[in-house]
Amino acid sequence: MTKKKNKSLQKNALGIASGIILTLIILLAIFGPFIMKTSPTEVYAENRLQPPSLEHLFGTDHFGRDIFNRIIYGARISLIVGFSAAVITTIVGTTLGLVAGYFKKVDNILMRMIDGMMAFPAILLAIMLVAALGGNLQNIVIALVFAYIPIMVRIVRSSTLQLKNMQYVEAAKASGTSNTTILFNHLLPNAITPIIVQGTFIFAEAILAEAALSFLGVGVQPPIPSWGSILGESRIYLMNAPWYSIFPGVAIAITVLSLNILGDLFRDLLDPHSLNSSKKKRWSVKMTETIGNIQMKKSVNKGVEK
Amino acid sequence: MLEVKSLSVHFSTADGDVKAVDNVSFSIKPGETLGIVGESGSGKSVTALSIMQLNASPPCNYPSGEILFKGKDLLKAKEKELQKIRGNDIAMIFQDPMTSLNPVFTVGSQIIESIRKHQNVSKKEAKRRAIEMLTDVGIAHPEKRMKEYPHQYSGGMRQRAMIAMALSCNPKLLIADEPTTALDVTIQAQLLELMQNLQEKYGMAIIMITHDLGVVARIADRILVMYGGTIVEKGKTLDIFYEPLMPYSWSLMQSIPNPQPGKREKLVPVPGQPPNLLHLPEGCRFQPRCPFAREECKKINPPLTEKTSGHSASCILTPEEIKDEISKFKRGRGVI
Amino acid sequence: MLKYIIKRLLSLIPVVLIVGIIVFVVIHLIPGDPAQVMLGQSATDEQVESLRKELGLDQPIIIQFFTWFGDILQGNLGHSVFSNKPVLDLILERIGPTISLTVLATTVSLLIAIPSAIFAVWKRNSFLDPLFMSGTLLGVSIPNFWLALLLILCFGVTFQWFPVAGYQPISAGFWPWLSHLILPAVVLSVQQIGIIARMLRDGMLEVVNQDYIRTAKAKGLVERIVLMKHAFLNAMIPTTTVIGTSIALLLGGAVVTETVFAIPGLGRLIIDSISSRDYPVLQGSVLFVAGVYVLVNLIVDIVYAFLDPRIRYD
Repeated sequence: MTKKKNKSLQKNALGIASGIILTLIILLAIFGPFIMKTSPTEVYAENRLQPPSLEHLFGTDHFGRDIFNRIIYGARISLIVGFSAAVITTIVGTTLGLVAGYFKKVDNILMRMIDGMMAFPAILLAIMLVAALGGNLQNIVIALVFAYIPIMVRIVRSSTLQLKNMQYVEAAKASGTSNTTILFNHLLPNAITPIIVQGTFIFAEAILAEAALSFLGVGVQPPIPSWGSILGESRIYLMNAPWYSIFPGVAIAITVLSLNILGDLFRDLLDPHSLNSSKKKRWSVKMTETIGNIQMKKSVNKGVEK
Repeated sequence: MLEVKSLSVHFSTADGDVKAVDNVSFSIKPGETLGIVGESGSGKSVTALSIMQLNASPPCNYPSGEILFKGKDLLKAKEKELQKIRGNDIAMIFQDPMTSLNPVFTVGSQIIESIRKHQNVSKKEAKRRAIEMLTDVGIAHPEKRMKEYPHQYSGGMRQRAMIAMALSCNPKLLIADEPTTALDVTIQAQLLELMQNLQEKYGMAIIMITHDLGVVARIADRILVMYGGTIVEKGKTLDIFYEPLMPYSWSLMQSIPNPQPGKREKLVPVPGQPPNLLHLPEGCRFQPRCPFAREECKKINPPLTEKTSGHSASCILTPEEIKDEISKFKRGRGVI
Repeated sequence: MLKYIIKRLLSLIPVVLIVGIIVFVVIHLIPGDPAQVMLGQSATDEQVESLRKELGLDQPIIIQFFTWFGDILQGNLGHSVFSNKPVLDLILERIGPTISLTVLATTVSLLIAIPSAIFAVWKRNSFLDPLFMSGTLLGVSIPNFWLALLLILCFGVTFQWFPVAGYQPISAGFWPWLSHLILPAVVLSVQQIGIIARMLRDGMLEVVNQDYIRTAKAKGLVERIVLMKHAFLNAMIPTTTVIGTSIALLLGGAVVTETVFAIPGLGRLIIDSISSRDYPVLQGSVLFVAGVYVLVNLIVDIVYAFLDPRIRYD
């Protein structure tokens, strides 16, 4: 057995574990509410701030509501928001990225807009949008899509730019294939790996961002439970009911960590021979905010070298 | 001076051990030029990197053999001792000059670094010596060029700078791993000439690793032909060229053009693929591709044996039989 | 080099314009009449009308944008609806804590991330590598506001080592200043460490397989020097860009962290302006953050160019 193999096995094992954990969380989010005996929003004043016990696994909150129950309901909100944001960002971002990479004229205008959007820290852009639009679920998703779309566009665009000059694309062009066919039948399948990987990271990141928004009180509003809003409510009881703050955070951290591990694994599995070196570094949304810059610099360098 | 005794190098991979070099022995005398020829994957570069102990380990390991340099076994030497030998007693230049120099340091500083590592001299002295080396390798305006970065050099210039760096500590042995492969033919010729001149001046031995028979024909005193991780023929350059004793060496020569007018022959590529080092063929390793293979070749893997004085080959055919086969082959193709 | 800087400066012009448009559009997305929203339901029609005039809301939208944008370029970010103070003054009042926090957090993260990445690469074939990888992944996966709560619980409440809220300027003494910032700076740096260390490690592992590293070894250099000089500098070039971008994370993270630790910084100002519907302040401070971020990245790019001779010499 070689070290290399050991390493990939380790990684696979970690990835499988993450997959199982995520599946469990998703199943709990879907079916959990049906088997819960109590409502997550109803007030049980007599049970106020009970520490964890057999009856209340994670304890109760300041309205006597079962925290485990609320976390299960919160999982629905957090996962739905994160997932919708990731899917919409991926679809729209991919389309824009393909178009920008393929059509030079569109590229100029679109990329200037993307540069402008990237001048805001993603979470700040989301906060500002939610503040302006109002904090319902739909608006949170919209805000997150806007916050994370620039990265997706940049990644797809740079893949497209590389693939565009490949022989098989030139050949397709020469044989009169339509632009749409080239974009979706030739370019997209070859750029799919970074898209999937990035989509996974955006899912993770969106869950974190939604939690932050709700924690700050601009996202999901109480009494609707989301992981972030539960944490936001728990803050003032930190000293006398620490369990109230600990468990929702654990739920977020485990989910996000699993997604990040999976994203990492996808990248390794799907992309054994990466197109260029910088792709290897695309391992997190936060990090990929920079990839665009690096790519930009590379093109500047090339210009300079010529 | 350097003696390699039954060296084997294995790389452990997920699919099993790759026997990159298998039981290879050779030696080199001071001032001599030894050519190591073979296709890619024949183990020639791995052999060279083993001498420097620069194979990535893991996955590389050395199940057997000795590499004796000045009486010391490099395979058993400590990292510290090796660092004293690398760049100082044994220097190496590589195939791709475009990537072999560090892009963020000036060429001068990279040469000075090497000098200062091995010789107890002042910065000023090291700089003077670096300029001298750059002059020696034929770089104009060495003072100015010292302060430039690799990307400001052309490919041929970079390889010259690499040679300057390699020779800066006056090594006893220079290992050149395909030094001219990445360069234009005219620049190749210039560099080979430069290396020969420098060899005369500094008196180091050279191990020239290449797949290009033209290069070794020009520069080497003796040649090792490697195939599938083993040496299949070894002898003086002229002997091997005029009287190959191993069908593989002969096939290799058939695949390069003869520049002499009137002597043009049809080029014959070596058929088939180099052997898979994970699953070596039974018997002789070259047998599946060999035009003269016999039935028994599938069973016997002939060891390297001396056929004529100073000329060894690993083939069950006698020199006369090979000669016959070659002329038969040529008649069959209608060329003589 | 000069050509590069000029090129880079010119590329900022459209960015600044787009940033202005984005902020302007977002603020105009707020449903209802901004003047009415700012003044609340109790305001009389005359009050609303005069505020509309004052804010130039009676003008066509394009005119509004250019008047507003022109003011901003001259440093006039408008006035707070509540205190009537210039927004720029409010921002400058709040900038001290945020600068202290970001500088401290960046220092902490670089001090931890760079050595640990080099160490991880040096010992890349040992058990340390998976440990390092899990650590960096954990670093980017933990919600920072939750980490803040945990740290408050642990070091502020249980051990009572550090104050859990508030801020002291450095003029009040070094320790009061530092002790208030340690926990928030740790919270902010955890993510950054995760990102920078991982990026540097990946970069160095890639560099370690380059031909020039083999050349350096063939010269007889010690592995330590090969890694710290030859590999580190090359890997640091792309990493500078990450450090620049992670400043964005810091500024964004500061919004959350400052809220949890009750630090009167720029992030708090943004959150407060949202809850009090003080849109000129929100608009101004978001613009300010974007401006700082653009500026920091400009500096980072110049450092990048300086580190990379392929750009520097042209």
